[in-house]
Amino acid sequence: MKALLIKDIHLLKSQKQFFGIVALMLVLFTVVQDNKSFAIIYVAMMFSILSMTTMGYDEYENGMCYLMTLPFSRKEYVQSKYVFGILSSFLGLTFSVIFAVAATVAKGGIYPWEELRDALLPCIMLITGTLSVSMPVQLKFGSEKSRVVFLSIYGIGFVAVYGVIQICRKADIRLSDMMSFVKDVLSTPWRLGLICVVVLIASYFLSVRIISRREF
Amino acid sequence: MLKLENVKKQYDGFELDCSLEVKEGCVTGLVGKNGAGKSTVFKAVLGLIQTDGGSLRVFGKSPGELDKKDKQRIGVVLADSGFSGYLTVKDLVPVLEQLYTGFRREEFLEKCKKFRLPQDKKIKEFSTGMKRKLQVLAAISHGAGLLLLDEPTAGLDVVARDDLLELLREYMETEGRSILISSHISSDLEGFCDDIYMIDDGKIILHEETDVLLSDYAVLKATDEQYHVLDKSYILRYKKEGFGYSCLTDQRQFYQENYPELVIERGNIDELIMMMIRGERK
Repeated sequence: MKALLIKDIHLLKSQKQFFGIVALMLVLFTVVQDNKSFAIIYVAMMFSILSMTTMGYDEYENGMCYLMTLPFSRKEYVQSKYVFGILSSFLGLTFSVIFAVAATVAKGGIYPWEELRDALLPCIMLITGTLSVSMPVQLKFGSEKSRVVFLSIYGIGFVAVYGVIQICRKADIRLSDMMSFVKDVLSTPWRLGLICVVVLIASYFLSVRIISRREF
Repeated sequence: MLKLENVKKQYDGFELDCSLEVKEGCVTGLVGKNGAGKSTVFKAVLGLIQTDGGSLRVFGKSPGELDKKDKQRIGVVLADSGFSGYLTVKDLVPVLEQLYTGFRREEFLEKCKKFRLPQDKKIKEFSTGMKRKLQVLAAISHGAGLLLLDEPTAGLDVVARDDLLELLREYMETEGRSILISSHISSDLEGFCDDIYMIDDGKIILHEETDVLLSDYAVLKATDEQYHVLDKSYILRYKKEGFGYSCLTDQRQFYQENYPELVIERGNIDELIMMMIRGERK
């Protein structure tokens, strides 16, 4: 797996422009707009897709075919992508938090823990969601087709949420009660952590299943 | 080393049904026109596709049973795939070092220099020939026991082809090594392979030792009259031509001795392919 992680790090050298834009946005949202929470969520989201970016590079000019002949198992390939995704996401998250705190302190202010927590919880959910959905989708459909699949998933998700809201209204179910229940569950760090781990593990096994059956 | 027995793979409009063997210490060639099934054979051997039947053994194991150590004993060049174009030669070195315990860093870099492969340039900016050279150099860089080379000389000029074949000859100087190589440039295989398999439409239509192929096979050029009186016991294929008939035989000497008036051309592999594919069975 070490070889695959080294390869992915080298592949990211092509992403200088990407890192430049992310850094610029971080400065813009933190220093200029003073919207630290958004900056943290933005950077974490951007870093969480790096693993998918490296998969796109692996697939460049049918490269996956050759890659799969090298001495590692398909399972190890999937493992390396999840490890890389989690590590890069948390690296981005850590970096953006340190920057946001430093920028606040430099201005003579204090970054309240409650505000930071309110930014971190959706971040962790978004990172988990992005990795868990995009990994199996990209392994199944490849970089090109997966864009269409992602759009379809978001479309279906939007319709599903809209449908639930309509059903709740007709059945006279109070949505605010449901939302506060979900918020309660997710705002407890250990519960959120557990849900994220379960979702990631389920996604990992699905990805292993997909790549094991895939022909190159 | 490698044995395929009636390995089957079904695609829309194409069916592979292939048996071949690569023995230890031998270079085995696989020739055939585009779409004949050469790459499918390589993909099946490497476990990149699931086969629909038959038996396939690499080092006595099925492709799915090959572990990391087994895979380290294989060097691969694929016709339509290679290292990610976003990497450089310099990036590849630590990756190969981690992947192969037997990777010889200095030798690899020295050969890259010899073949004028820039170390800091992205592979996607390489020419086709440079990409091929890099793949071959990587395949032989870790002391593999078996090389699987699908069209390794495609896109190379004559000099580069010769250089690469020389590298492969050097590689074969160590005992116990084997190569399965495909190429549509038959002259590459004629001077390099111990035996040659010919594949057409997914099926092996001929297997012969290269020496026998070049010494005993021939194309007879016969007029209509000559053809009608010809003993056709050793005619493998025939084809109607403007002057009469072209006939492929694996008993050149028989016809040379018994039909001295016949025009007999020593077979080269290109002609053999043409006759085997386009000619009719007698």
